[in-house]
Amino acid sequence: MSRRSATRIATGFGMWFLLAALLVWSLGPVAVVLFTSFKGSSEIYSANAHLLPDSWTLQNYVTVFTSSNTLRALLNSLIVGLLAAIATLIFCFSAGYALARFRFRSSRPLALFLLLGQVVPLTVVLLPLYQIIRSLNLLDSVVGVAMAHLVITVPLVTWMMRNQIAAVPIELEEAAQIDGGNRLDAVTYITLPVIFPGLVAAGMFAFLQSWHEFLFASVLTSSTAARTGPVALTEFATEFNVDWGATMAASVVLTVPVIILFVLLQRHFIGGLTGGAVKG
Amino acid sequence: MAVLPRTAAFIAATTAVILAMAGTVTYNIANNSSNADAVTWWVPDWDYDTAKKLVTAFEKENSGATVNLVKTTGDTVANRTSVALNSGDVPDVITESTSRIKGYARKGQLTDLSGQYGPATPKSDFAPGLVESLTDQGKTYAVPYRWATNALIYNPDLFEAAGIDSPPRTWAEFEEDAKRLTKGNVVGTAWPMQGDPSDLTLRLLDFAISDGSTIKNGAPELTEPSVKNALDLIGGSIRAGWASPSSFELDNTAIHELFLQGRVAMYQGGVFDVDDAVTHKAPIATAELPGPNASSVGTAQGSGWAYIVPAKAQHKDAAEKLVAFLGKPANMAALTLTFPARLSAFKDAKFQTELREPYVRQLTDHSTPAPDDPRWTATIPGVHNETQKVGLGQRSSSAAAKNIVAQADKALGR
Repeated sequence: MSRRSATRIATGFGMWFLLAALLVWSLGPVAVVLFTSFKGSSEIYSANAHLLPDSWTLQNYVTVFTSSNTLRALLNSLIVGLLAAIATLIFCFSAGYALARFRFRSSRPLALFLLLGQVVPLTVVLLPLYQIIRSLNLLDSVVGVAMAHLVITVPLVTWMMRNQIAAVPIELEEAAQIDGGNRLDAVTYITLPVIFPGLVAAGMFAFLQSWHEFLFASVLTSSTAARTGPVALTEFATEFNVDWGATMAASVVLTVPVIILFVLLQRHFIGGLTGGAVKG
Repeated sequence: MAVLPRTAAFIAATTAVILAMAGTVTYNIANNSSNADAVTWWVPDWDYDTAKKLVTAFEKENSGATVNLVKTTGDTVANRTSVALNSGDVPDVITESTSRIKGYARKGQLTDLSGQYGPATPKSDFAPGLVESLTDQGKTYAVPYRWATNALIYNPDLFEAAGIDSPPRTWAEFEEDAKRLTKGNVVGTAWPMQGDPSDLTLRLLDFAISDGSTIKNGAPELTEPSVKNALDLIGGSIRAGWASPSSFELDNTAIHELFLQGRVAMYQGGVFDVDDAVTHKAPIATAELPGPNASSVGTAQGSGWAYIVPAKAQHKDAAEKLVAFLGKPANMAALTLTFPARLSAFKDAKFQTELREPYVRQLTDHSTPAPDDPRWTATIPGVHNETQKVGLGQRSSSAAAKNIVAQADKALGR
């Protein structure tokens, strides 16, 4: 075996080992959540803990489906996530287009200023946001939570959209306008289809940010009618103990829809994340 | 120029979404459906079902009164209450942890409820020091309704098997018994070193205040020797092997589960754990906390929940009437699984079991309210960290005690 072949095999082995380690690192906690959800409480706290249950039980899922508000919370999370994603795309595409296509004196500082929204801790904006949502009479409503989540999603998605749109040559839009279309036609027939993977990625990003957000949702909601998944998980913690089995089962129930969504859209998601990466 | 189909669809979809959002906001602003005359009471989910029954009784007793119950959870109540009080958009009554009430009161966010106390509700009927702990500059800002301390929970079967005929009464006996009990899969005791840092700090402080440290005006006054002795007990026990080395991975729930499995022989726990062990038919007995020497019983910190009325509550009179109703001994007894805050409510049969007797003695004779000064609360992670280091053998008890006392004194401005 030549030295080059040996090096190649060693490199390949190292790469696979690294990938395997990363896989275990990232999926390990998910596996613990999944298998713990099928364990009884005595086994969860067993001194000789095993990953797989010794005796499998569906009791935790029975608790989740019959004695909790998890399903309602799941529905609320879906509605809030979709509302947040749709509103984010509308606002951020418009803002991103303006920042990418229109040259005005403060366009770049303005774009950078938007990113400041990402570095401000959520607790700082919690109180003013609460007062805004209250003044709109949207406390304890899914619409109110979705609007609050725009604070998290809009800054970064606007930046993502700006870069996606800037990567599309302006000449393509100009060609559409030469052919008789107006600017809006150029956007709908040229720009939107070209950046579609980016839109999907941005929409998924907004959806996921909304899906797992806890702080705003916990403060802005007070009833099961509007409570989202992460807040509903706290219902399994009483004053003195935590029902970890039911918490894990509810986590699985709340996670599966997102995994399915991600698998269905992952092609667009990966394409969208890399789109616009080389030209901004 | 004609609008192309895709452009028209894009404009229509965008307009529809924006109009829907604007319409929802406008509709909500125009139609405030809340019952403006109802008293709103934020109640934790574990009290909700009983609270509903009490509200029905209150509404029956006070014709025309309406109470709107809003459920909170243990993990969300602090944030929600804080935001509500800061924003001024408040309910009329909130069930809050006693540990946070002084902080709100010092910001002027609570109604003075001193008028709730009198011949029908004497302050002396409450657990020792409890009403005082909710009083600031002569005004009492809350009516406590449930109160609890830890006591010693032990497995009588394991004690018998180890030839121990009674629970430990001193720290020396506690250590000696734990060493005898540690055998095979069983450890003498365990500490909640994982999870909420305040759980471990509570135990450390229980030992320290049993041995010379004190709590004044909601803030601990720590002495180095007492903290060192407390650290020796907790950290030293892990290093010596008579407390579970897995303490670093255990929270309160996990220790209780290991006790149910017969793997932890004794621990400091609340009465809720006792009820759960009885439900699981696990062997269990209880005793007061051991003290530093034969002449003293260990002191336990009490903590609990109380009713507060925000300063900006819209229906203060009705809210105070509701609080007075809830403050009756029978209603306090109904609304707690631990112990009521009023001693006269202890007469209820559910508090008179054999397993609860040591808790009653602990609570009435050997307890003090847990510190609630926000400046102390801010030091808890540091205290937890030092205690863990002693357990890991990375810090001596003396050095850690010195650091803890210094941190506390600095935070409390001494």
